Amino acid sequence: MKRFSLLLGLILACASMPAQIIGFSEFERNFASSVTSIDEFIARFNGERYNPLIEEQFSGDTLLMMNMLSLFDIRTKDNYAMNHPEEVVQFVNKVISQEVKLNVLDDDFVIEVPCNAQYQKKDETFSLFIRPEIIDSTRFKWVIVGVKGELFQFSKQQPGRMIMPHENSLNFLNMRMLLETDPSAITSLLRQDCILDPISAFCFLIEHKLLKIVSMPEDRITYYFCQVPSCVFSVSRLVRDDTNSGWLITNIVNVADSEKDEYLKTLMYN
Amino acid sequence: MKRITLLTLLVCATTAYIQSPLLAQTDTSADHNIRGTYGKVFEELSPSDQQVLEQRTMELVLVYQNYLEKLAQKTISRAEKEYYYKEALNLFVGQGKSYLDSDGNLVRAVVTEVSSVMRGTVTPVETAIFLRHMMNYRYERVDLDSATVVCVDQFVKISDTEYRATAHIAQRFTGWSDGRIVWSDIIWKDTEIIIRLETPITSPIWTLYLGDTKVITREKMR
Repeated sequence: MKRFSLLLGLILACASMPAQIIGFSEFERNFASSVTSIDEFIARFNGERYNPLIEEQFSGDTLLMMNMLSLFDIRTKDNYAMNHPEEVVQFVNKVISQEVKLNVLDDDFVIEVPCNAQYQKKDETFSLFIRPEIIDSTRFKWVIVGVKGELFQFSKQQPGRMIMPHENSLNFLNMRMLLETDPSAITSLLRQDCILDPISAFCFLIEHKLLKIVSMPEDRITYYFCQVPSCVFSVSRLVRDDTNSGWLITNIVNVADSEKDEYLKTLMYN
Repeated sequence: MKRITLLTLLVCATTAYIQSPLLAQTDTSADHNIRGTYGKVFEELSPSDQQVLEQRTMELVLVYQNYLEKLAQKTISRAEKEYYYKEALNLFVGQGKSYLDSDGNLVRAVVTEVSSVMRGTVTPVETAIFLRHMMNYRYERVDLDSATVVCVDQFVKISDTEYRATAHIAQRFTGWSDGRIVWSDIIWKDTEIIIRLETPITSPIWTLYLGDTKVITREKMR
């Protein structure tokens, strides 16, 4: 019964918004309700703006609650909100009662940008991770802080693959032969504590025009926000002619505040 | 009648020019720099400046939308289309060609990237070429429904002489042929808006231009 009521609340938030804005067609109403940009998402999340269709019907605390609920995706098949209504309501209550505000300049925030690319005439996919960096007191820019994909997975060190103790006497003749026959042996020739950095590999491939980014699919760009206590939530853009569209919350993962850094590292690196 | 419409559009377009004192009121001292309401650091424009700029942006976008509609109509002559093509390009930074940014760097010509979520395709083309493609549409009539819905993000400072924002537009694009709808699509557009301080012989003015555009089509309706 409780689950049913929660579901009903969620549905009320987005699905049954009547045509209250006089003079607006259904198409215009849908767009007015949609979260058109991440700026708009943050403004609505922070309670600085409201979904106009929700604002027409509610006021006070109910407006805050419904406005926040309308930021969840409830239309995609198997969406998180409909499958986890209790968690969604808990999340919304937490945000409102603790007055959580989002700021894209916070440290615990990252954007995943999926890329389709071409490398040696083969299609490759990987993700870039982007964060803001402050230039000076009035300006900031976006910078790449991580890259993740099969292309940037280095082979593991293999026992037996090594430059033998005596090879210096042969002027390392075998090293060249080994790399020619088995290039994946390269990591075995490094110090054991050598850390290979995917970003360096990415920079090298791009700078030398060996890797070409062909497209960055809009609908798969995801913002990960860690500002809400004990969870990380993701926001993606859902383009559809519906009141429930635009930048919406698609997932919530429970992560202890002390483990969020580690969670983001796992997200960003192989 | 056409001339009157044209004149109206041109009047709208010229309102995109703003005298500099409007923005010059912004305090440049470090103390004034704050975290904006949308979570960004910027030399914040006053709410009234932001409001004026949003209004000008909407007018600029609507003028462009109107030109696009004209370019796609089969019933409009080639000569008229050429006129609208040039006028449309004039709304873009660099008039659709490569241009110098506020730091003096040469920047490529503005592009319009058309992506289809359904087909999974992304096609970036120079905006000048995109507009030429629009001229070659063969629909009797093209309806751009709900072009009046425009949302504008907060303007952010790029340099002392430049601010940028993104305008978001939703449209229903319907093509008619032989009295029937032959093509209909929901389109979302994100258009870069560039405000640049220009210094002609008279007093400096802030001018609004269109920049790169992303066009996202989602669902065929017929």
